[in-house]
Amino acid sequence: MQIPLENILILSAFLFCIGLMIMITKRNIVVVLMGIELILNAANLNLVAFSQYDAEKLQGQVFALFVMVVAAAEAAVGLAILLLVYRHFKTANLDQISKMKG
Amino acid sequence: MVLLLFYFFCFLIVVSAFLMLLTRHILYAAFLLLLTFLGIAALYALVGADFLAVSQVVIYVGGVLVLLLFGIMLTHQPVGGQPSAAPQTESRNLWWGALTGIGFFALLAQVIYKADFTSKAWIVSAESQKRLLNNSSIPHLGANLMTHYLLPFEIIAILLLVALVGATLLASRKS
Amino acid sequence: MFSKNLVSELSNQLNQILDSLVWVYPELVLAGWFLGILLLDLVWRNLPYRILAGITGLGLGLTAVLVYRQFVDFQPLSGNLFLGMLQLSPAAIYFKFIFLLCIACTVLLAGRSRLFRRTKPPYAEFLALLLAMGLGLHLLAMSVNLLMIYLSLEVVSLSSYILAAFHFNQKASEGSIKYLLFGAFSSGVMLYGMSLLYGFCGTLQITDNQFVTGLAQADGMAVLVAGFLAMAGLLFKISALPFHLWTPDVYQASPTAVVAFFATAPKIAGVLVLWQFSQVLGKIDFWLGNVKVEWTDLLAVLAILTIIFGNFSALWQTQAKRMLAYSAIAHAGFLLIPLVAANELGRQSLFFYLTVYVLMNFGAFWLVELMSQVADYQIKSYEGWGNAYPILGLGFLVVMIALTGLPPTAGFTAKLLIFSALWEAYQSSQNQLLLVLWVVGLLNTVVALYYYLKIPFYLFLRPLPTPPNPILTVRKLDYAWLILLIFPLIFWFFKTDWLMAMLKMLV
Repeated sequence: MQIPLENILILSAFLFCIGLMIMITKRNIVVVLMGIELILNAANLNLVAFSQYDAEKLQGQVFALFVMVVAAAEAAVGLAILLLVYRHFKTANLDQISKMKG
Repeated sequence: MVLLLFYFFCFLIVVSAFLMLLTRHILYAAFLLLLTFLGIAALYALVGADFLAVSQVVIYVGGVLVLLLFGIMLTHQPVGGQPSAAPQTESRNLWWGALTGIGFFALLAQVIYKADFTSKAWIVSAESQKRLLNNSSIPHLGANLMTHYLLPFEIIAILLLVALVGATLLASRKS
Repeated sequence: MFSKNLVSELSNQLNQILDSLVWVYPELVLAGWFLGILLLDLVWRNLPYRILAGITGLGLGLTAVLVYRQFVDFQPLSGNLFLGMLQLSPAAIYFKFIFLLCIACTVLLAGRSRLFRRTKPPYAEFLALLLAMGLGLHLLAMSVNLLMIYLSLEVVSLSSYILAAFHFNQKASEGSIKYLLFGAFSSGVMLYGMSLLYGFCGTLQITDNQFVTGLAQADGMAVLVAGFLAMAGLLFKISALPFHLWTPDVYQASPTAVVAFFATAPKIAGVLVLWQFSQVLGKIDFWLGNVKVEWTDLLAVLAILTIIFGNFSALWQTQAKRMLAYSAIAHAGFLLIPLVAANELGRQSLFFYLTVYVLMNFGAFWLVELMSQVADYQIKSYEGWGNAYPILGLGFLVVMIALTGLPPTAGFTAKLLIFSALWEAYQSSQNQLLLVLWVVGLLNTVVALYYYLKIPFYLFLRPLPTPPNPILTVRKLDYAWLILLIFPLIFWFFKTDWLMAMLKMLV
């Protein structure tokens, strides 16, 4: 029994939009990073879903695999920078770390 | 049966992602993210990407999520000297955010229905020739990683080293 | 598990990969030097910047020689590398040179910068990350596969996030986290767009025929949306609207040498990939209902918005680096113009513009960094220094005129070329939007005059507050570099053909 492709795509569009909304509305940097992870997962879900029809080259699956690794690397760097921010501002709230204007 | 499982995991993902958006507690959000990741891993298994399902659990749940939890722990400042207060996040631009999100979702849904992916030439030909992914994808994945994707495979090593060097440098720096 | 057929195919593929290896020697050297610098730092800690920079320079020189060999040995057949991951073209080879030049300038500028020396950043990591970024840029210039584009862009981005924080102070941390959040967001959006493009065509290789036909057969609006999303990461790199938000803060907070690098090399790479992208998508007519939309229309709208936003925000700036940030946004808009024109003259003018742009930017940032000894990046505090140091002031004048796009500098020639390319495109297509872009571009060049010439105005036409207690030290190296950067700006105005003749060969 084949899973309808459209349903997976709609699900991933939903995840993408939830990630987008989290990024826009939430103010804590860790939560914003979670939103980014959701967006990346949405893209991965698309890639893997299309990859079913690409059984020999599996381009979508390989792409998704690389994205996972990049996401992990990005999260690591993100948290390191977050620690730097926290050391200077004593907060992880995006609204309270705006010293530059113009 | 597969369809039933699929809708169950869809439901899990939708609910936990939506609750992530609603909750103010960062720790709850982290655990809802865990559920979302696991749901997505299950979907990967359902569409024939078994290796990716395992990687999803190992990398996202075991790696990224633990990193995020560390992030929460290290940047949590108890409010008013109450160490037990759960870390919370403020919200802003609620209307603006909801509007963009819903607008985008409408746009993407329209794109997906208009594009009508199941009638795309390459998908149709794959379906008609029964070149679908049925068995495990691991042999092909391995062969591809060592041939077509050899260069990206090497580049990712450099990328990881960059991230490693950078993260240690930034986190250990005393100003 | 594998059939015999597959095994023979595998060995064939492996042979192709081995053959490709010859064409990535420059990248191998960069990767090796990246590791080498890190190892060197592990063994001998606290090596002075001079020595480390010298070693890096050696690596850059070696890479440049190898790139030159590629240029000499290049044959059109040697283009397709690693089973379609990369494609070597004369243009890519030319811009690899430019990237190496940018890295060399950055290394020198960092060594010259006083603030950088006072905070004692970890030099080895700084140079290693620059080399890693160079590697990413080299690969990006050659990428013709969506996966390769994404990966090399991420190598560049991750190194940039770290380099942006290299002052390790409060401002730097703020700039860096904003950079990371916007960057990760735009690369996520790009990835989503790419996944849809993959769905349309079933291939990741953008030069493949299947890619073009797949897009041409798909619904117009769907491809337009997916294509725009897939551009996000590149628009972020060139700081065009709507992914420009990080630019002012990062430019203000990061070390000047790093900023000068951000303003040039990643931007060039981004524009090159965008050019590749629009070569493919430009072939397709999109039908939204009954209205025909072209890919260039979308780019034209982005260019108009970017130029207007960048220029008018720059008007209010009082801080030199922040002003240059908005100027960088405006220039991103101008860089989109040849892409909109999408003709042969557009290609040449784009290459000309990019070459000149590197010189202008490094000139400007070098001067700003020199002045920071006495002036703390505030334009107001430049008062009168031009009279005390005429050569410095003259340098500022030339660079600012070039950035505005006035004669007698190559900045003027570059603008002239892109506008004539756009005019040519308008003549052949009669698309009103192109005319609007043309007019907006010209008018904004006039607006730009006001904020660029503010700096020479303060330098020359205001008296030096007496007595000038901080002393400005200008070394011979500074003069040498300024002359090397600024001389071509004037020379190429009079001898445009010399550069153009070379750029015409890069087909």
